[in-house]
Amino acid sequence: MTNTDHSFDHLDITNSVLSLAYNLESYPNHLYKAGYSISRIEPKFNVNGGVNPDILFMSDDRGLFAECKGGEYYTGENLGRYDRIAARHLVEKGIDIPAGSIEIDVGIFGKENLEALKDKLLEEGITYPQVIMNKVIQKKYGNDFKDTALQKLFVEPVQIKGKPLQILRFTENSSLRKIAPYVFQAMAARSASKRVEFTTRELTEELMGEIWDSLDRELQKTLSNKVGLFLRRCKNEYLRPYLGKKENVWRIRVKDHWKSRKKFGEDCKRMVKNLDQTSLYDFVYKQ
Amino acid sequence: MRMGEFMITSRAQLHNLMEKTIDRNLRSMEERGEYSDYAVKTNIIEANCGVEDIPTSFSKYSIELKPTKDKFLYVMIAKEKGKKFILYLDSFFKRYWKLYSIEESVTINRFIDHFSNTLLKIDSLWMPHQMLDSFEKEYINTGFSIKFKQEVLKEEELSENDISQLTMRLWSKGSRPAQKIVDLLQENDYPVTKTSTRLLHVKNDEVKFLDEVYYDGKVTISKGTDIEEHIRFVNSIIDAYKEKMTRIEDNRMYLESSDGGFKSSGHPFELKFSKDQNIETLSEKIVNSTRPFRLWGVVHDHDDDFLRIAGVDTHSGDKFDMDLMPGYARVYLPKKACGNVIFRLYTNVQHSLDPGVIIYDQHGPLF
Repeated sequence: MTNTDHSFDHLDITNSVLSLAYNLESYPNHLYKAGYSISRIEPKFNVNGGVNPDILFMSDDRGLFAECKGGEYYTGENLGRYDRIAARHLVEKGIDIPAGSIEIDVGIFGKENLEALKDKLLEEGITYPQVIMNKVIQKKYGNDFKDTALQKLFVEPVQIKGKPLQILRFTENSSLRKIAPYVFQAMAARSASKRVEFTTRELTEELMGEIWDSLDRELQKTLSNKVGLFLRRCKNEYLRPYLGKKENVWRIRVKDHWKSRKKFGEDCKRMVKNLDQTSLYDFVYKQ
Repeated sequence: MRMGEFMITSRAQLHNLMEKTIDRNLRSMEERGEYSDYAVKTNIIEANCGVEDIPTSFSKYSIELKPTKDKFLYVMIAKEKGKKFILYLDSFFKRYWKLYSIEESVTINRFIDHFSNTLLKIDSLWMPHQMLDSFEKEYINTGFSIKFKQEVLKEEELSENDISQLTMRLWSKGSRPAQKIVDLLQENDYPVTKTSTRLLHVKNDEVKFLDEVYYDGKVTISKGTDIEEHIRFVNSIIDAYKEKMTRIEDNRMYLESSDGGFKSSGHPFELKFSKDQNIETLSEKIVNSTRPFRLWGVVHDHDDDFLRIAGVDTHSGDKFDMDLMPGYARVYLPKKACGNVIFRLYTNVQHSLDPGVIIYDQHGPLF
């Protein structure tokens, strides 16, 4: 992702696209309507040196690869290789093929950045349908979707009212503001269920959920270190009355009373307010 | 009735005791116009722990559990400031316990309130009015209670047409008057958030039971000739609740890694308000850790028409996430979280904010 003013959070775009496959009223549900559901997020295919699409959606007889783009210039290596993915590659990955022959669409999804990126894509001969999702969602550039149901749904502009679901909560690059609420949430859950002692690693594992085991060891270590640094900062700032540490074990103490919990919530809120949009990277390396 | 009469050692003895009490009350009512004993009551409890996890003391109570010949049935002797009273704990349904009692309602209600509110992993049922309505289909509906009290918005924030409070108790002979009153309320946009419903079960011209079912899982017997019919009815309430609980918990959201990338499971719940809400006021009320919601949370990602909450159900210690918009709320339950939080949230939004709220999952309306 580029660092220009016109780049958008990749995670936000990915969540926006994923949300289209849910049966919601509070957010557009184009993919749900067209019969698609999420098959895989960040699948990796061993095709010509590797193709790593952002999302694969499947319907009863079709597939859709979604490529999420947040920048204006960088087209990436994936886009040139999608055509080489065939049903056999899906089978190799344990993905169910619901129909005898399967037709796969590729869609590029982004925000206003696509207004600039479209020219770059054209230069490179990439003509997949391009869907802009800002205040409205609409396929504005590129070829039509092969699936006529998708084409029909995406061709009309539809207003987006709320924000997308948060299927993916954060990555190691997310700002502290994004991560902090989940750290507080994990501590409050531990306090309420009387699991008050924890190591930094245990808390980080809890934050990442079921995907923790699949993360690279180095990434696990980096994330743990960052969460540990954040916990230290909490202990030195507004959460001093609640957080303690003895050797490598943290202890959270929030009294089992609504007033104490409410106060803890208010102090967490003060802590969040105190954080600017610094990324964890900035926090770790610029303290 | 003396303490000794309340001691039972088998399920048959318990049934006998309850049936005799109902019979005595019925005769006394016919002869003297009042009950001779306290009514037989059943409280359904949602438990995510084992009987052995119940502490021997909590709040101002101490309790002793005496086993019976039945593996799942216990005599629960509770003490409050030297006053003893007895309940019968039936844990046959692992997650839905039944607490039978033949004691004074005030004493039992207070005890159940502490039992289901103080102890971690033990909750009452939270049945929205649609569930109570659904029980009426099988029986004669001889009355109901409606209670709505606006607890989120202040009087000055309400419009002329908004109802800030409505409490109603109706007794009727036959279902027709009860249904007509509900129709009338609906036609005039008044809340129909039932908090209890009275059901008469007649078979071969014999009154099998006249029970009142409350939204929190309490079922009282006013009349009856057959305790088995009452127990069967209570079990059917548990079945209905269990079915919804399974559906709710099937929607729990999580990611898991697989060979071909991450797989995503579940679906958020979407609450559709009948009119736009002030999301700040609403979030303050919902996640301030107090009853009835009993939720804690940190608000983040906040702008004029949207906010997210990273929350915890303080009753179970489970996490949840919520998005609030003026017209909608979305609730995400993570893997392993107890689904009772959805019942509690939805039922209390009905009772204290928006009687017309609808909740959806991926398949459509949940209730």
